[in-house]
Amino acid sequence: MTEAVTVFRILLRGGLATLWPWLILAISFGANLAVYVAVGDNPQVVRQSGGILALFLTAVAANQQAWTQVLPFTLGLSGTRRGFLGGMTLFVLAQAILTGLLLTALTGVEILTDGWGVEMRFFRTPVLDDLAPAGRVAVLAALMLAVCGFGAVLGAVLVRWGAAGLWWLLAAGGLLAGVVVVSAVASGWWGSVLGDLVARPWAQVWLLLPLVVASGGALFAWFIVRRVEVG
Amino acid sequence: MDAIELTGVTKRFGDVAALDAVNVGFARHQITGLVGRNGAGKSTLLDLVSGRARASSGVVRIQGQDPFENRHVLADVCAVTESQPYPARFSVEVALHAAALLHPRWDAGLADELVEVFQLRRRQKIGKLSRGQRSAMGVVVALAARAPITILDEPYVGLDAVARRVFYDRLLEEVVDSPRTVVFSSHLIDEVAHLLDHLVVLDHGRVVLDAPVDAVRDSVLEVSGPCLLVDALADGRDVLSRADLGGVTRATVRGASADEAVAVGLRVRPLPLQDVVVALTAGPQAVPAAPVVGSAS
Repeated sequence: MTEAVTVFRILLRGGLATLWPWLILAISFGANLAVYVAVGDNPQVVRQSGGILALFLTAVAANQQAWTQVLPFTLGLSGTRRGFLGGMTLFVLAQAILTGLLLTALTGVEILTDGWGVEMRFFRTPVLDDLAPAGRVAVLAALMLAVCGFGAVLGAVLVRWGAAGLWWLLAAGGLLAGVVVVSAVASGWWGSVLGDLVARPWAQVWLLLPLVVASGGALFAWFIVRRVEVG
Repeated sequence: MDAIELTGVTKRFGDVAALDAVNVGFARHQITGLVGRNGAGKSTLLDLVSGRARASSGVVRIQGQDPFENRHVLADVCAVTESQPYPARFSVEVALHAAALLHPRWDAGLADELVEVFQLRRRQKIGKLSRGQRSAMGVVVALAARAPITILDEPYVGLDAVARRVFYDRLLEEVVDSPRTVVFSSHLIDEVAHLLDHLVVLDHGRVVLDAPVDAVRDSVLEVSGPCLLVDALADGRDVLSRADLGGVTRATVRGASADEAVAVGLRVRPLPLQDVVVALTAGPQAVPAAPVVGSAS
């Protein structure tokens, strides 16, 4: 058994925290359903919910925790950083595929039940409406990979530099984003960037872009932890 | 060849050298005590040996290979420290399962037995364990791993006296049954002295003593008697401490034999191992330049 598979098995046994986002999603679903039942068939109420975002936002925290807790634990038990990264990659891939399959299945149920009986669009989103189930699975899995990549960077920074490092990262990220937005607006190419994105094939925007983010996050996280020390 | 070798190893944290050009070896199938004051560099040295950290300069070798990011070597290493990192949300069961997966010689039967002995509850979350229970977890891992290289950095913190005794006895049994190289960092020197074959003393990041335990015990004597006789015995030797009262002097002297002292009419008191270490590291005499007694075999 390779070390990556060993770490994957450890994450499976101890990684139940990654189920928390699904619990939060269930709570979000229940709350949305209750609201739409309460408002009845009022045509002025928008039927599109954004509750599915709860899954992706909380998955960032769950994956970051896997890095901050399981990486030092693995190194403490004579594992290696490379082995952890391999195991974490397998774990994230499994999460992404499961996410794609489950959300697509729930979308099917939502369509069959006419929005859970209240015309609610919880699992359906306009950008994915035209996709076949296979394409929907792929996009949702890619989005989860991107989220995990972001969580990996946060976790790696926390393991190496602690909370101070995380604040520096967020401050630097906010500053960079601000400079980019201000520059884009000032130079007038903000609209053309958005237009270009909309004009591109869906696979480039909803598959390639998340996969680039996921790969970049994993590489950046590896660069940070490859010499991290625990004691 | 020693099982573990450090050659010219320096580890810096900013401007501070936690280890300063350390040369030391840990012999195969021996239990070596690694002692020294707080901040002497013991934990840093053990972190380097267990691949948790990397030296700023110098060479660390386990069975001839660099342990850092070397799973082939680390599979033979089990390191348990006072601050062993465990995920708080893992149960004892899950943590032991992980230890079993990462240590190829894991003895599940021994682990089960030790869990009973230390009264650990398998389903309890590690975050809910007391300090002593966490240490007991570490002891179970250290013994059940049956790793050829076992590194213990104050693994008993929080354990009561009975549990510590159980640990020492089981460690000795294990080493006799399946010989292994053990490096044991401890502040309770006299309590673990009976386990040790060899002693390495660190002070200010440097090795100030590296010798078999018996030689260490014999290397330092407390003598008392007339000042002139003590001065004669101490001439040319390290005097680690000295107290004069009237014409009588009591001194701790390194390098004198008990026979020699008795022959000139001095009273001799062999020092407990802990007192020897204190004498070597407590005062200004403990400057790193002190000569090394013997060498690792």
